[in-house]
Amino acid sequence: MDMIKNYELQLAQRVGDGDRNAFREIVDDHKKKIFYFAYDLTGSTQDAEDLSQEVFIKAYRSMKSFNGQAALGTWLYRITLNTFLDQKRKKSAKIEKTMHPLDERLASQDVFDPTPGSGSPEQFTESRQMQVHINQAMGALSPRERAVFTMRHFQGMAGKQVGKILDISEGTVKSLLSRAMKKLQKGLGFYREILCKEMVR
Amino acid sequence: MTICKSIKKQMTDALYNQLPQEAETRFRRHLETCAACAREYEELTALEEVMSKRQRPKMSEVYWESYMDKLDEKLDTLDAAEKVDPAYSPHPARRTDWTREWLKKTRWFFIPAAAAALLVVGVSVGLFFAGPEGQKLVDNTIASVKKLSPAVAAHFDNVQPVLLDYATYTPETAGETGTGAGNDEDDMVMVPKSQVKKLLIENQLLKRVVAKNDDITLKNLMDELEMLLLDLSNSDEDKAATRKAVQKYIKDNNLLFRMKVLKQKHDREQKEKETFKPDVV
Repeated sequence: MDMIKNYELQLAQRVGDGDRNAFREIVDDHKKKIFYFAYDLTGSTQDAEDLSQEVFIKAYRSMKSFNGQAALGTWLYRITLNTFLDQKRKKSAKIEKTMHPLDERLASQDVFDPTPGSGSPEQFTESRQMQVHINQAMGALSPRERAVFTMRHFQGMAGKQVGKILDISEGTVKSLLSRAMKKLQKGLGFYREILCKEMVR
Repeated sequence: MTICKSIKKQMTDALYNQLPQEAETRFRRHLETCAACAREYEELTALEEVMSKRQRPKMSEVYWESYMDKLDEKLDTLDAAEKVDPAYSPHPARRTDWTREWLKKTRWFFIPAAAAALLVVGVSVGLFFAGPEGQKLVDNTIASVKKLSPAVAAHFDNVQPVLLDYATYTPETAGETGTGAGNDEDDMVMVPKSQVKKLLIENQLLKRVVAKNDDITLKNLMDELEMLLLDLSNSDEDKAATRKAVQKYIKDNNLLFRMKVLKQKHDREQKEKETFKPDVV
């Protein structure tokens, strides 16, 4: 563990001194993780790219402040979350009205692997439609609810860890998660009923 | 009732297998005896099942290879913007205290001055074309506006042709018969989305530098350009409605005129630098 910590600190120091190659190494190691975390938060590949690149730019600018207390990946996660929440706070209602809803951007831009067993075109369309609905339901969450749900559900983080990154208590994490799940249950009621019936069977 | 309340609080931890062993056993035992809690947990499990079907998009290897190139480009743009305006350092620590103090003291002057400049600019729209008096007014306006960095001036140079294309477009000049026989394909302005996207990124990066000064005139203009570029990058480019909305926005906000006013000052200063020759001893 110390070896990794020292290595990360050395890399960070080199980036702080303006070494772009060291920065490239960090980006190569973390870009997929941060991109997909950004995708989980934003729901679109374009926004994920913009957000993740913003994160790396911020990291580049403030690499001197990285002190190795947390792992570099955790530090980047924190920047991703803070940037996402800041963007949501700053975005004015005027600009938001010009944005296409999450589902439209998903339908036009993103490519998914077909769900296993979904060989027929109908099944593929159904699967794609489900992705749209899931993203729509996620879009109904507040930024903080989405952040908490994403970290708990898609990133598999414990409540304590989520609280630490967001700088909130574990109780608040649970409360946000509970609200997020209630909203998702409402938005995905159709699928839930089908699944509940299947489970009873 | 109290037990059910406590069990409900544990449901998400149980869902993600994060309950300690003993608590897990008590939790499961309770569900066997309480239909209400069992039902609620079943619904949570079903939700989890649905959410587990959420997929992440597959990004190609080509995309990942180009990821760092895009980042490099953005960092280069930022570096270039900051090199020409060293006062606008992204690192607050680099700014000396006296700079910060000076900005604090003079802020009261620049904000009302910028507001006054905005008012004068608005009034001078008609006067601008009316001859020497109008030109004098514009000159006074320009004098009150702070320095435009070369990077922002270059951005205006890049944005202006796009705005002009929209502002001057009419179906007649595009070759439509004028009898209404044109289709959607004819009634559109041919600005590639990739170009718009590039301008948007440029705008957003430069805004960060602009945001650090007190030039409200420039900041507002950059905000409005960003909104326009955002709309254009998200719009269906081949719809007449988009084209008309954009034309109206450009006209209502006097975007071209405002860019021209700010650029005039910059161009004038550049010209002075080029023609100035120190005395040779």
